[in-house]
Amino acid sequence: MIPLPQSAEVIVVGGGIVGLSVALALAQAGVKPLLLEAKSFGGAVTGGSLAAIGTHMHGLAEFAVMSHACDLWRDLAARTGNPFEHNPQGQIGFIRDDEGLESGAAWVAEERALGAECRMLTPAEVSEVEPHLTGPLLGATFAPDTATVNPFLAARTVLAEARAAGAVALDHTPVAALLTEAGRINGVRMADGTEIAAGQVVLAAGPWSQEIGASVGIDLPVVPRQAQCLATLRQPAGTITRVVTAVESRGGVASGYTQIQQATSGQILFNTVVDFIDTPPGAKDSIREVPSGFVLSSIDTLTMLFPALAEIPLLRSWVRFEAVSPDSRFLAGTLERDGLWICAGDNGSGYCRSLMLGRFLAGEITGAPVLDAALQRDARTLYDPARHGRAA
Amino acid sequence: MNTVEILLDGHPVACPEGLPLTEVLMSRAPGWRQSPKLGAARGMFCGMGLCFECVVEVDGAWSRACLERIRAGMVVRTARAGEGEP
Amino acid sequence: MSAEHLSCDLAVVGAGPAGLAAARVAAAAGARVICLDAFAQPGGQYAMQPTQGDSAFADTAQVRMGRDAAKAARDAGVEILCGAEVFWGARVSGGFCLSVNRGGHSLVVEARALVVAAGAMERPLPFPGWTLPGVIGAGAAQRLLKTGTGALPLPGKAVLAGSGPFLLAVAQSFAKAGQRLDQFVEMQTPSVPAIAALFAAHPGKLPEALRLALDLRKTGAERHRGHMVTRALGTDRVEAVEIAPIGSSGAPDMTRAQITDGVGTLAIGYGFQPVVDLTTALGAAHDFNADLGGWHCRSDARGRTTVPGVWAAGETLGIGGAVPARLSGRIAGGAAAAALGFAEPDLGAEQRALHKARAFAAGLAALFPAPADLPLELSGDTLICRCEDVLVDDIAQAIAEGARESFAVKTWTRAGMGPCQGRICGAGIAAALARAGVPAETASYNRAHLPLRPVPLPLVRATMAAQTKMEKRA
Repeated sequence: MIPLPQSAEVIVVGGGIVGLSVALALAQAGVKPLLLEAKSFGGAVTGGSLAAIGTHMHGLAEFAVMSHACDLWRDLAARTGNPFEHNPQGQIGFIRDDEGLESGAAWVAEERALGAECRMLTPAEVSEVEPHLTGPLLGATFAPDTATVNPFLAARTVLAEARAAGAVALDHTPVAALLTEAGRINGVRMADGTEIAAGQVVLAAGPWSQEIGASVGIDLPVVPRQAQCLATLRQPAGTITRVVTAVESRGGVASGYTQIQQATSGQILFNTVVDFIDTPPGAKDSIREVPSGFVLSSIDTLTMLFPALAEIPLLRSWVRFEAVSPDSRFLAGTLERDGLWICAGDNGSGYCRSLMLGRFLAGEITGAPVLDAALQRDARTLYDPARHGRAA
Repeated sequence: MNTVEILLDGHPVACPEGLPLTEVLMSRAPGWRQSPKLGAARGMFCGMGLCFECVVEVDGAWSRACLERIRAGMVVRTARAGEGEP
Repeated sequence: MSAEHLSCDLAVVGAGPAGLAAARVAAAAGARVICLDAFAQPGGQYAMQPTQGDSAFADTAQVRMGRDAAKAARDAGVEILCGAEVFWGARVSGGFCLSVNRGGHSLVVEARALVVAAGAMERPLPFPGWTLPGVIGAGAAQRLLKTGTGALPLPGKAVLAGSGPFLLAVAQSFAKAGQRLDQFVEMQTPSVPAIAALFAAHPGKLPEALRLALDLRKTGAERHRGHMVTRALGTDRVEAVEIAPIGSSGAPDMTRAQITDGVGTLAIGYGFQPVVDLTTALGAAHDFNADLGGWHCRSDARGRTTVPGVWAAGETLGIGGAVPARLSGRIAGGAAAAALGFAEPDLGAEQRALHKARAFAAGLAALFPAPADLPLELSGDTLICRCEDVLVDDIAQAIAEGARESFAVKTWTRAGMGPCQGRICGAGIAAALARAGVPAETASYNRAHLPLRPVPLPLVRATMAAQTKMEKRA
């Protein structure tokens, strides 16, 4: 095992896809970051996610940065020989009612105006694009460029890239608290009491960021939200070819959530959130099983959409805890302590944004932006941690 | 012992009622599945329902052969009968 | 489809020696008891019941014991459900809800308390050729002999190999079935004084040991002690087996390796591990002890786990064999019944007998220490995870990149993500991690999640609908 260093220029707390991406971007920018992961790299919300990479239905404000984020994933796949199953398979947003038709059409019109290739599908076109999707649909949106990645292998690739670029990344080394001196960050204290000095610390610990920030009196507006997923036994390749999601309502109306896809392994991965469950304090460290009601709604939705899959065996289920911010957007930028930065608030779709956010934050930390100036500016506004008010 | 007939990969086979299905399958050939990536031959391994190497389709449903007993008229399909896994 | 619903005071999971004993004692104390088992007949591995009337096993002591235990349990009022596989267990208001796949139909069993007596499974260790059809677990061979026609279905020579007293029990099944066994390959060579000392302390065990030795002779097998199987050879089935003596270094001496051709069946067993999927899913604490088969459920002297309302018995508490299993079953069944308010049977004699039986089991385990790993240099293309075709090289690469627990190996290689959920490859992965310096306690194991075994969606839906109702009930 690599011994724990006594100091580092920048410490990144959290070895999920976000922390790994920050470490990669910092290392590429010539800073030698030290990344500290409490458990296994990518083992929490990263590994539990379905890792869709796309701009569809993510809102217009983020469209430009999200487009770039998708390009970064495509480029990484091309450069590394795609060891992480980057698959530009396209996305279908299924529509079951008139309201959905209206929402879908609005998403498509707005995204097309910004240059996206998405379009509406009639029920007949749906069955051409996704032959087993034979449930009662009024139509669908179709975003041909949405991709997925294998969440574990993509994290593994970014870790390897970060290390190759000079980052030091340690797993099973949990950070317990931040250290300050004269109002400025000067390091972290590990769970075993060891202290590591650092002039800059990036909190990228997803839903655990909140309690680490609290160690220096910062109340981050990020709360954990329980989410879960089911996986079936392997089915023949091509059983489901696209990412199938529900068309989301417009105007901030909570409409539930569905995502169904077939992994490269052949397993069908699916989840449906009807009502977001209240996530009790401490749940992220104690709840390990999916609620029975979630299993019901997910199975019902899968079999409603794909009647041919009604009898296949379920293999596994898992729980993850997403970090949710009040406006469902990341917090990325500086916090109110000199030397303290945050990159958290995935809201369940952090995978897509991670490489882009890593570059954005590395630019902010080093003062030498890597992103295009307009995107850097956009990101600074969009993800400003202070937008919810100073919370010290 | 009571002999009954089952349909195994489309062929009628006479066998003793109640016998473990694995015995009937093994007496034809010890491997009746292919592994997912390497396509290597596989058959019963643990014999107690935990390794899933002996999976077949019984009366249309995914099943572990080691937990199945011969019943008159049961329709068994192995991966040998067609493409992919049952 | 809605699930069939049964209610009881105590649900016992597993109808082997431990489960049947627990169920009987609790029912005799007045509890309504349902005992569930995945197999078609009660008895478990030890007291497995034959399917054929003319079986040579129809009237063996073990079969009689299983039959009598099931009858005694039924006479005491236990409802035994066979072909009923528990695929989930959850706490609900007033107790627990078990989700059960009963021959393709959904069943929920609502119980105020649980005894988990889920038994043991083999602890397979990878070696070259171990995935060839015809290479089967020693327990699988015994199951074929006991529940089948009595003749091994594969033509060719039969080789029984591995380590531990269970191999002798399997050899005895060969003898009883009149099935020819060509080779018996035992890795260990326990010393005669050590054997003598064990039986001097437990003289009552001697006749059984002598019978086992005699029956091994009866099989006519060539006996190779201090040897191990180093390879199974063949293309789409096992055709030959290579064995070699263990040298003074502890590794096989390949200069003295010999190949046996014409093999049809290689039955191999290096010991057992407790089946702990239900107890881990229920959140009970587990400990690692290599002498007890590795990870096992933690309990107090009366089988109570760290989860209120859940008791465990038999091999779930650590490998020990049928006698401790039966005794721990009686104790756990009695303790569970007492906790539910029924009369508490006096089980002091069982406690003392269990103490002695466990001492004998520990003595046997010391004579035949189960290897944590095989002393073989596995080539990079040796398969570790059968479900997902993961090779030694894949695992080694993941470990080299920093995977330091079974979970991390799984996420980076898919080893353990297939239908067996790491039950079969777990020991091989732990061994690979151990070679990289990661102790078993750190390597940990794949924790079970819903469903404990793959199960068709309609069944999951039906039992989860029932569970939801029970959870919502005031």
